[in-house]
Amino acid sequence: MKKNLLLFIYSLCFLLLSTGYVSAQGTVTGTVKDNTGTLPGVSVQIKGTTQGTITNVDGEFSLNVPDANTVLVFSFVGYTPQEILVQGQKTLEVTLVQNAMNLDEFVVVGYGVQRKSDLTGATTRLSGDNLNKSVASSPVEMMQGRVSGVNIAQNNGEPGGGMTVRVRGSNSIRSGQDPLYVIDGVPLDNQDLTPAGAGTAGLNGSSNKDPISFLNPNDIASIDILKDASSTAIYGARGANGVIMITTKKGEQGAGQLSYDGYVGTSTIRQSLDILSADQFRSYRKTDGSALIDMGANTNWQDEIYRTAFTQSHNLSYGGGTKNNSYRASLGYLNQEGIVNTTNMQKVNGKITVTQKAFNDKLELTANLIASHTNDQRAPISETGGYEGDVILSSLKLNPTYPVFNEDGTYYQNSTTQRNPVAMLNLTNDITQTDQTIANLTAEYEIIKDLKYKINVGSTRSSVERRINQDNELTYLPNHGEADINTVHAQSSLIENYLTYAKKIDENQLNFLLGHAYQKFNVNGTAMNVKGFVVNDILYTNNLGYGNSSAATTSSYANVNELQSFFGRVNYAYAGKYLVTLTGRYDGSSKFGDNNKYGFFPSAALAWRLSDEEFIKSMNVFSNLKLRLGWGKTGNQEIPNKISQILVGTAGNANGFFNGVLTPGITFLRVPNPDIQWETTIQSDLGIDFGFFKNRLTATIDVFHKQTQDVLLEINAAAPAAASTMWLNVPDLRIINNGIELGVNGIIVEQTDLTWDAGLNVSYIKNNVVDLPVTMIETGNASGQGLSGTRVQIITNDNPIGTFYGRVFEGFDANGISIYKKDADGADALETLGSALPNYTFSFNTKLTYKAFDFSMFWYGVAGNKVYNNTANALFVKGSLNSGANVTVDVLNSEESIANSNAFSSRFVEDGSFLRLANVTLGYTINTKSVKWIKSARIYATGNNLLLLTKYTGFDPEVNSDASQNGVPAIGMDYTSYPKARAFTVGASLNF
Amino acid sequence: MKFNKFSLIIALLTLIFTSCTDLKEEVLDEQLGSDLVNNPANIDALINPPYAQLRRTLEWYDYWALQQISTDETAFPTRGTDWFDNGAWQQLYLHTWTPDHIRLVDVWDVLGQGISRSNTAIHYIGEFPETATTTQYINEARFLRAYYMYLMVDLFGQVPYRDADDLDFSTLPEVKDRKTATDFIITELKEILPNLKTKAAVTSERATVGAANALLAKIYLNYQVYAGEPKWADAIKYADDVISSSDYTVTNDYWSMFQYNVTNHPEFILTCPMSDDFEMGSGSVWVNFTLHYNMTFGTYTSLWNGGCTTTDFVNTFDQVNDARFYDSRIESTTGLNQGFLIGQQYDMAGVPLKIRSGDPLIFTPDFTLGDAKENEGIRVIKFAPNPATTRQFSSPNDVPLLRISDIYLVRAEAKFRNGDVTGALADINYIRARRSATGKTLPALTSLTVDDILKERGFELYWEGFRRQDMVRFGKLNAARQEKPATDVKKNLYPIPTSALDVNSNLKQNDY
Repeated sequence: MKKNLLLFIYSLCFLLLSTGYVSAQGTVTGTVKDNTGTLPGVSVQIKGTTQGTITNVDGEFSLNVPDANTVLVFSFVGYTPQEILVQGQKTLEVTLVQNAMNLDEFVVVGYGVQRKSDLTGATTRLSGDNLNKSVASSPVEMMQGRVSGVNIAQNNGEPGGGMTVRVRGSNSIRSGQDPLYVIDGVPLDNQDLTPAGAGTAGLNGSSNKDPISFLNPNDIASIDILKDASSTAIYGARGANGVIMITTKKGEQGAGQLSYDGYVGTSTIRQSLDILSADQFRSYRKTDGSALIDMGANTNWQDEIYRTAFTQSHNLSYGGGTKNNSYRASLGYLNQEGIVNTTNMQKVNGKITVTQKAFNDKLELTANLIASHTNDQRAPISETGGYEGDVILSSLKLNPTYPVFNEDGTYYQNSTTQRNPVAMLNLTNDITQTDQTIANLTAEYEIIKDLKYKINVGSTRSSVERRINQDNELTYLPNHGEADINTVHAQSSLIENYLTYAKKIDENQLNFLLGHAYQKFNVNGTAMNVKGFVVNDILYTNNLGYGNSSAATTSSYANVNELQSFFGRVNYAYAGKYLVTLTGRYDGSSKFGDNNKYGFFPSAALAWRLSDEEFIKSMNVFSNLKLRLGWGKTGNQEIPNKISQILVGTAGNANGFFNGVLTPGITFLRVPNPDIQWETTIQSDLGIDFGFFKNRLTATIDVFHKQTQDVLLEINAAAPAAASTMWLNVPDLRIINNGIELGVNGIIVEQTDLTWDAGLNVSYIKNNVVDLPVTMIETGNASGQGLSGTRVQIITNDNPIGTFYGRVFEGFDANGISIYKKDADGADALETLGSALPNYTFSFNTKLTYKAFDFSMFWYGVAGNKVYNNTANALFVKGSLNSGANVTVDVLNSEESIANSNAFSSRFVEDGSFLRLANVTLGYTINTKSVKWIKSARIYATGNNLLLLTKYTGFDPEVNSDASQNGVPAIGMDYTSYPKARAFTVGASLNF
Repeated sequence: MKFNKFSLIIALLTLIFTSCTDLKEEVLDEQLGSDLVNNPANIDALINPPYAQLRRTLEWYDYWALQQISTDETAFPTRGTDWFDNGAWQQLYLHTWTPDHIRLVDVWDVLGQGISRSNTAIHYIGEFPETATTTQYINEARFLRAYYMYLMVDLFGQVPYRDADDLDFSTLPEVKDRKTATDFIITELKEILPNLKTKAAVTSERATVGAANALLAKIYLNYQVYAGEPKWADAIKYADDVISSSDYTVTNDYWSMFQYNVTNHPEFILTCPMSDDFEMGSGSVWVNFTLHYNMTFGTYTSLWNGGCTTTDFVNTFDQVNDARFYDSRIESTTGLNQGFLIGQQYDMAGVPLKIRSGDPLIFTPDFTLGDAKENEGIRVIKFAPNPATTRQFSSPNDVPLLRISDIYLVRAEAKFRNGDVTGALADINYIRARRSATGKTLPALTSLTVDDILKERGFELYWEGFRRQDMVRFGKLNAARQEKPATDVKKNLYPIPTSALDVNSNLKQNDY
């Protein structure tokens, strides 16, 4: 009877529902979703009671409700809670909106997590939509342009090519300015894992990968960037360059869920350079009226080496969990062809994460294993090559009337200085195989209430082998075919033990952390070169015996270093409004001199949540207002191994014939300095976080002052000394970075069918060098003919790092010869020509969602920087054309004389400002309600690098060719870089 | 449960303490040990580095460049888009250098390292129990230190110095002015003379009595430049000592000295031994920078089309009768002649070569310093390359730093300046008698002017790194010449590099 009655009531309700009547209620069922699919684990509660349920793995729920006026509250971490008046509805479909502005999200800090509202330092968290996802082959690309104060530049366009990451400016004169990367609690070594290249044809070892390139972007849940010293001081001697904390995905509670993400796409060169066609080249007449060599062909050498490249990526993951455990396994595959023929990167990733709780949740175990294999096929592209030319250089300068092939089908190779880039590509085989694993196990145990002990044991291992074959058919090789086998092996092991204690007494919240960490790094490498191969059918590296073993060269090296640290942190909060953080780390490194084995790195920070104060609340303006003030001291221990120690030994340039026999020479190669220590950076930060309109509009402003001292430098010793140079921490020298960062995010429209949000990041950084004890440090070795010994960049007092220095070009005289500004003596004046460091970096992103469609767009850019167009300096001058090399159309038409030398001057230092439309994505979420086996599906199309607004005349102003001198890196150098691609992809994300 | 808790804490404490480390840096790939320098068995390896440093003085772009490119023997014109190199070469030729000149910085370092390496050898060999060998080696190292100091005196007029036993490198080295340094070098050489061996005993690859005498002769010849007073008699005396020893012979085959497989040539007094059988680490091959890009032969595929000589200099030669002007013995293996390369060039098969634009490769006497065409300027090949070398950048040639003809000419000049013209003519004609081209006779001189002496030095020693010193002594360095206006006499000294002044306040900048 009762059942019938219910049935009756249901039917009635159903009828009434359509007419809007309200009546008594029974069971309500429904599904909860977000924009990507169904949401399991969502809390569904009857408002004002403790009654409720959670959604099952399919996002479904069923709940008895007392009456029609019942209000159901749907809440889930990271989503805006939604309240729904039942009003007789029997089935509900609820869509929760992800709350990017949620202040109570957790952020990852060193050795723990913190509520964002309790944070006192300057950190930025990227997750979900904030990460650049499409066509990111490395996690670093996922951050590019997303964080104010963090400048990320892609060094070139090679698949898997290196990135330069600078958190709040340049802190050092040497290399070793990369931030510390911490993956799930395991700090990585910024070890260069690119094995050396080969001697001939510019197969060099640059284009280093960033240390996290082996991670699959699909496995990354969030990236937290710790910028100020109060956040990074917990990493002590490794904190000065900023810390990037990467958290990988874990399984979520619920039945196992299978996900697939994949895309396919094409990429092409964004814009090739406008060089002369064969006919334009033929039209040129020398002063005596004769034409240049004409071999009769019409070859567009750029077209010959570039292609439409194909990329595909497939990622599968399976994860789930119960209250006590979770698991997630994933597999990724990426095959990315480069736009230069034959170049390619293939990457296979696997990752397994399991967590387990035990002993009434007192013990929590987490195990992580990430493994990857990368296969890079590279081309003879160098950044520092000689004038003979690599592939890019040859494609630009080679006579366009030369044919690719001779009539007999062999490659047409004119001479050693005029190389056929197609032959270079096809007759060179350069493959690097990289295997990397990272494994860690953590156990956290609650010893007594509020006191937890955590142990983290981790290990990383990398094994890289590069095999290069240069075929005998290449006529520019001095001694027939060449083979190189070069390797790098690196490993590190880590053990960390720490205790945390959290206690709340009335309004006082106290958190303590105390710990010890030990990490050991080993790296070794080998290099082997054999020449003289005359066979053609096999890869020489497969049988070096075919070469001339008497012309073989070999070398190897091995280094080990250790770090030991003691660290602690105290967080104190009163009433959730007044927040104090104190940290300290006592860090020791085996690289430091005996007199300075350990350094102490303290920090202090205060924050005041003004919005919790009555006088602010009463203003009714701010939904969040927080003032942060931080100070801290951090270090940079990325100094070369062994420099504090004496080296007496043999060196090639000390060997010699003694009594007719080649005898080693023993001499001082390095003078000891037991005082060698880390570089110290002291940073102050003042920040304000704003929230308006219930945090629909948020903003963060940070002002910082960063000063690096104890700068480590290899300077000339006062001759005669034991060795010609010596390492020391220069006493007075300071490198100062002052900056302002602004981040604004707003939800402009938030309706059921339509949401629109937008974000803007702007930062301004001014870098300055003070009290350098020498007049200048030169770097930026220009490459190319006529440019030997030309160093274009200096580090000098009262100028930023990366300052270009040289002649000031004032145009051509009547004869087409360059006029340079003169000094008082009538000699060419040498002046500073601007810095390669940008003053401003900025980005803009917006996302629009309408019903099932989503659309997003991302722009980024820099302003105020200079780029040295070394390629143009070496190639694109009139004299070059006159001697038979190809040039740009501008050069053909210019007034320049063929007699004009290609001296380095401001003529080739160009404005490097740019604005790039980096990404446009259009997505559609398919309604999968009717398909049982699929939970959610989204398809999308993406365009990358669609538009570049710049005055720069080279391929791309976002470039960083390696042109270092004596270990001092140069920046903003462009020499025959691998051009960046424009890419279009279509992809799908499916959850089963 | 309780048990578990304690065992866990114990485990954790154990872990903390066992993982503690003293952070002593472990070095895996270098033998750091100072025991290397304290082991008497390593004595040969200790004397070697100051000898090896001699190779650095032969790099074409360093010491050699400073002694050659500022003179009438050598010019590195800018060739369109090639060889501007930040103005380095034009500045050397025009004497418009500044203290930041990249070559000055490098040469200062090369010579400073020479002194340091000599000091290291003197000090550590001096710590060994004294034997005849240690005494001899210490004296050889003192010779080498004197040699590097002499080069610094010649180029810069100041020498930073520290005692071999002064190991406190935190104090600044003292700086000897030109006269003090010259007198110090002379005293040193005279002190060590009795303890050095002869060439017959140890070859010209080591510091010998003959080398010390020859160096003294050369220093006395230049004493007026270095210290302001003439010492012609001393120059004659030490030159006599070299010539009268039976260790050295002026041969009748001039070019035999400049082949790649020469060792211990009878004309050599002090030799820098090199080999392309090994990667030597330094020491130049002198053909790459002068030959045109397209003059490839054997394994020489990278040629740079740079330096040439001046017409003024070439025109001083008796181009028909003087063997030193031209030699064809390497043509069949390289396509090149030794001596001066003029006119149309050919490959080994006799096919005329072309420049990159397709025109014939004809080396012309004239060149424009700021804008030379590819084929402008007469090229010079002094040392023969090994066409089959597998190490294009390791020189196969043993290079003489001091040789007997130079000492004959030193004596001739000293005699001439001392009023003995007959004696001078005899010495010069002694050389000329051995320098006739095949089937020709190089006539003896019958009269002598001071210019003839400079000319003869040019004929005999061109492109061997002596020209600047000679032109300074003859007052000719600053004269106007092909493509160069007259320059001030202060250009006879190079400025001290800024990078050296930055770290040693005892140095005083020269008026440059």
